[in-house]
Amino acid sequence: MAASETGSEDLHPIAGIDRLIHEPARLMIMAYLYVVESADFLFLMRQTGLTAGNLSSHTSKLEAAGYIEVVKEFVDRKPHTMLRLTGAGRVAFQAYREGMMQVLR
Amino acid sequence: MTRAIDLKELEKKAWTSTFEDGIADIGLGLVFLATTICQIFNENSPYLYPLFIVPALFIIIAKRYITAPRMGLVKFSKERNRKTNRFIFITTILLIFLVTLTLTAGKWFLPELSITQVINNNGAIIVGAIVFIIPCSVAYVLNWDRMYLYAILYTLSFALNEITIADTGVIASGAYAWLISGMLITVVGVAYLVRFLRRYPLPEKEVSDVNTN
Repeated sequence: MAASETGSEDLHPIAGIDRLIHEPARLMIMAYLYVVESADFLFLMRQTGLTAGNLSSHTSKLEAAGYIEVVKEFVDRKPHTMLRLTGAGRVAFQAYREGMMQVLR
Repeated sequence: MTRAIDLKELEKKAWTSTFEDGIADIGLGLVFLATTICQIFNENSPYLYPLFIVPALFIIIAKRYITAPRMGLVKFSKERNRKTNRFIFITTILLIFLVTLTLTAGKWFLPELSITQVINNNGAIIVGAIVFIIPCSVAYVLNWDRMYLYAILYTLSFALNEITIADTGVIASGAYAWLISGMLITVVGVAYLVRFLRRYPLPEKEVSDVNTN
């Protein structure tokens, strides 16, 4: 009984892991956006190796969760889309890392 | 999985990917070639100085029309900019310290010499150290590993140039050192550029303005 309780306590951090971020493609996107200020779609595509459709689908989910925001800018008088982590996204990513470290420790 | 995400490494990877295009290498090679031209004609002529604008223009234009459409755009964090400024400050202090130390040591070992004589005696060491340290600092700050090799080439060119001029008394005679180094760096840059163009062709459709909604 005691062992089972200890086991469930040890596993408790896993339940707290953000499943949205845990998906490998989204984790890559979040990690890249965490280390830069902002990046455009093409840059993320090149860095992560995802296809345009795949990247678009994952960024949509992250945007819907409020983790990333889309910033419209003008580069050479052409509209350009930059992506960046929101404050909530930064906190969520940090929490995810800490949660995973706890699980793996 | 988290252990696999080394954020520092990831940031470095994103940053160094901006050097994959070889454009900075070509720009640096062009600086060496501009120096060659200045040496051949007249290094003190201000009419030749605009030649050094060419590499800068090349880098700006090539980054905009070759790299950005293939690699995309990224803005790096303020932390990286802060790190760069901090390193420039430390390097400046280090250089001042090095020059002072060289002069002091010279005066200490040879007290009969005046400061001017010490500068004359140690000038090569001071200039050599500066010539080597500055590009090494740039390499470190920019995480641009090839720049360490270019720092050696730069220092060698500088030394060969000075030795040749001292031997022959003709300024143009030292130009070959800059020319060889410049060509080497440019060739390396072109090789990287070709690899970059092959690896990152222009995207078939416009993906820079994809609506994520």
